[in-house]
Amino acid sequence: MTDSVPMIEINALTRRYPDGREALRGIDLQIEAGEMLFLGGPSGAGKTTLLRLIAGIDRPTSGEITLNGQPLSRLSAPALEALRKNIGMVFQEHKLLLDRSVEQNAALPLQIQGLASAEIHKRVAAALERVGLGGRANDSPLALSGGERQRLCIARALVGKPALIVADEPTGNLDTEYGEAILTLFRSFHLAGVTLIIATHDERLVQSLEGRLVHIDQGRVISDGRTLS
Amino acid sequence: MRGFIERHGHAIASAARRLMTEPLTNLLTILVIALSLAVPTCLYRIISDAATMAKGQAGPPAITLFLRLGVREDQISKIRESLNHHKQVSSLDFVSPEQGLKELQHRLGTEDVLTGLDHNPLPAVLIVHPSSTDPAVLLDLQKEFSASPAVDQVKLDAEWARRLHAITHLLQEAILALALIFAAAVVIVVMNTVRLQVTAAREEIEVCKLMGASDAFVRRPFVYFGMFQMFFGGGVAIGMTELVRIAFNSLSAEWLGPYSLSFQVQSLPWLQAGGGLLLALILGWFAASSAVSTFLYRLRPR
Repeated sequence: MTDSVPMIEINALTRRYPDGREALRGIDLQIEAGEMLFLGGPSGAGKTTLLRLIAGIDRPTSGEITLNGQPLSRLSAPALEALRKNIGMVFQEHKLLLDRSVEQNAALPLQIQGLASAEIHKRVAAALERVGLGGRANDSPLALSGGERQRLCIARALVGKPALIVADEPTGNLDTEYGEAILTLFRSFHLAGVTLIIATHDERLVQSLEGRLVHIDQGRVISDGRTLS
Repeated sequence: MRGFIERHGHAIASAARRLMTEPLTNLLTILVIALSLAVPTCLYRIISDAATMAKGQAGPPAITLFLRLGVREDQISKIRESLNHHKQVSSLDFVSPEQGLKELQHRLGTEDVLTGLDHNPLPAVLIVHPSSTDPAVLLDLQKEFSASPAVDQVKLDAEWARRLHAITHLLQEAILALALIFAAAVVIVVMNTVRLQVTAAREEIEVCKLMGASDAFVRRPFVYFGMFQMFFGGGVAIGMTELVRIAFNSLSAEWLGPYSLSFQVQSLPWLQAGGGLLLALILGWFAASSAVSTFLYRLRPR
């Protein structure tokens, strides 16, 4: 048992949608810095909702999420923006900008951070190389396959060197070869001390990486343990 | 400083890209803005120059002082001396009773105007040309001159000045109201165009916000877009105003020439044109900022 404050502390978290449906019903979780946490569970269990609340995209109906000791609900708009700049997000639906090139998509977080063009170019080139898209920098995302788009999405999440990566089904569209490459990438980030929260159905992903596995169903935590690796 | 330049450089490039994405739609918007700005500008130029011309045609206002009969020469000299040094008097004409009689004889075409009279009944007259055309000043001068014991009667020829002042004032007020209506229309046009752009870029804005973009970061390209539209609209409006001026002057010369009259509208001074463009940019900034802010408000975490 340590005296350190958990990086993320979630207390009695509920989220009810406007139609009355309850996506989360009293979630309690503590996530330590540097931890790799998998959120498992069937579709509609509340995994994506929980990720959105952790990233400060939505607000809980009740309960609280505390990040590094700061309750998210009390963060000002600039503080929330600063928080999001430090979170790498991989979206299930990619959320790529189709009118921009692969390079411009990957560069977006760095432009938001206000980095100089030369630095952006260098870091984006490295990130694209790591996900196997080094030769596609000037292509349109429309010219990419589903798996390539997913890898671009991951490159965009990693390029800002975030302290926390929140990924929603990051290997869902990847073939085996690139799925393995992404797993290696996640492992290297985990080893570098980055906290990862990954919502996934992918048993291969869960079992190939050592980490904590939290199962959610019908908006409740039903198990909290370790992966088999 | 470099970061500031790069941020704004990105925003300007993004705004230019948006402007070129749908060139025809944007061109039409710019033309609507240009027309809305050109109409009140043209009217203002014409009314303003017409007022100046009317003043020139009618001549400056004058106050006629009819002196009492029997006022001595030395008293008249004192009055003339005093009026010549008056701050509000531009110039002074003196018409002696003898000169008045000659003029009357000339107008009537006969020298028998004094038949049956044993002396010249005409008074000495002072015609004062005030330095101001302001009706209020003229009325004050009339009161002041009437108070002099040597003055029998004061006639103020200010009715035309009062009317002209009232008409130009009314027209200028009407044009100001029209300009405000058109300015509001321009703001609405730009707001609507930016709103459409924002709606089209909804996903991009959402992604940027998810990655921690500030409202200013999101707003900046759209604000430049709105300002570009207003800048180009303002530029085209200046061109339109100049074309209308040339056409108007040509017609004016054709119609008024046979009556030996001339009315030419002057070019928009550079300072006014620059001021107008600056105002257009401010309106563009305001309209675009409002449109984006409304959208951003809806994206806040709920």
